[in-house]
Amino acid sequence: MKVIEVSNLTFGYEEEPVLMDVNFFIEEGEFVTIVGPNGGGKTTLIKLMCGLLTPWSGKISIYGKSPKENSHLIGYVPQQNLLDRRFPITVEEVVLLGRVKPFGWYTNRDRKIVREVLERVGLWDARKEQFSSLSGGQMQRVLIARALASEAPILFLDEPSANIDSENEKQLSAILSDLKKDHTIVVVTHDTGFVDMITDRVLCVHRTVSEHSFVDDGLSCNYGYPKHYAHVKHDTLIKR
Amino acid sequence: MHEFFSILLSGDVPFVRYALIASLLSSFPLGMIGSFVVVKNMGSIAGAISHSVIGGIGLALYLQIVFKWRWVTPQIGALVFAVLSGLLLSWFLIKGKQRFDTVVNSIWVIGMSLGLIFLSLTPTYTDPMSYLFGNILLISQQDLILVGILSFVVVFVVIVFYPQLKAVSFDEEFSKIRGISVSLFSVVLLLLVSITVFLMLQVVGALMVIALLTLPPAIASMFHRRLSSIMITSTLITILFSFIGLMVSFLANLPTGPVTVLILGSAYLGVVLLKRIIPFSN
Repeated sequence: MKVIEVSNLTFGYEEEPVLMDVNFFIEEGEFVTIVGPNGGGKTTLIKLMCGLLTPWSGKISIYGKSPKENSHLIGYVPQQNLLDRRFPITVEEVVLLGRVKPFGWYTNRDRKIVREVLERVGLWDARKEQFSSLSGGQMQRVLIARALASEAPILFLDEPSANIDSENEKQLSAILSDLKKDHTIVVVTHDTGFVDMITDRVLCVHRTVSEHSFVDDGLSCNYGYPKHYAHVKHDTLIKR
Repeated sequence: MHEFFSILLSGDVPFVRYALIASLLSSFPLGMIGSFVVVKNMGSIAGAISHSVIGGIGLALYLQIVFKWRWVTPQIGALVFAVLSGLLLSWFLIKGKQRFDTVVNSIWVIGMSLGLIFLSLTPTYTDPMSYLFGNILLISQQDLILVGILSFVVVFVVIVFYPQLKAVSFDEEFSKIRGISVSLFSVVLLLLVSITVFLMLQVVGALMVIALLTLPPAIASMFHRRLSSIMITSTLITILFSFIGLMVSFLANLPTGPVTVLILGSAYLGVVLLKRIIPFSN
């Protein structure tokens, strides 16, 4: 089943398009890694799929509807360095935001779910800590827990391995491989090392989107990927 | 001090009592909204709203005296201008492509200039000092009722929409994906700031409101890790310091606004220095 479908997508912030004629789809349960040069449009693509930006032209569908209509099916893990570190908020409160509704207070069920997801990422004991006092790796796990608290079947993670050390990176990839069992996951990253054993597909975003296949022919990609992807092919534009 | 308490209780001089009641009622919205202003770095926005209020006061006095529109009181003028500048700022914040701090500064200076021009056009002698720095002699019973109603409205809205307001303040994009109307809550928050700025106008004056809005949460945030705790503590701090400010200004026969702000400002600096010497955790 195609969970995410992007067809003929074009988008830009000013006059110049950042993404042009993008076409791809993601199947249910897949783990897809998005790579590409800085400014190539990776984060923009994630924000479009989350419905935070509106395409100039083309279509994005999440379970058959627009991202805005189906935003409850999307769990979003933003780049942690874009959040205000000085905001007075505890770990538990951050994760509760994953349960926030257009109206009304949090319920006991919301708190129960928060407990489950915090236990799943191993941070229940740190629930009373101030968010800003955490290490980069712990912050990342809190943001993943917040996305999980939304109970969405799709997870979008933007640069989850930024600002974290190798020990935490191992922990992060363990969590992601656990989440892979019951989620469709899209990860944007510079560093494919920590996901190379769990990734099903690699998409490269550079003004448009092409897929790295694992076969040994065609144009190989010039970016530095780990050994696992030494022979990535960079010329197969997926067309529906 | 004994003199102050007997004045508070005596029926002859109601204005001190009115000023105290107005301060106590406004402490709740000030503590709550001030906390949002501090954690969202909205200090200059609140400053712009409080200065634009002077424009409303000037225009109202002008209309009252030159056109004999008796019903246009300075309070109405102030409230209308506070709300209008709040709406204008929300519009620029949501839709505008301009540099937002330039917009904020423009509203700040335009409002104040309008006010001073209208005051100088108004023939009878009007003392702008009362409005700039507060004058507790100006508080009437009707004003108290208005302050009471508006304080209740602000507190009610903050409590009902607390999860949404906090979510939007911490992470707009994530809140949007969760189906929260970020623009609606940005407007709501700015309107709440506008109303709160208006509340303490008569006690501390337009120029001093911003201090009462930001200093108590700034002190409280040094001790707490949750927004809700900051709100409660800064409400208590506001109650305490507006009481002390009122008492000292009454006993020393000085304007309430500057006295309160001076004491509060010294307390803030004191806590900051103390925290450098004895680093306690929050």
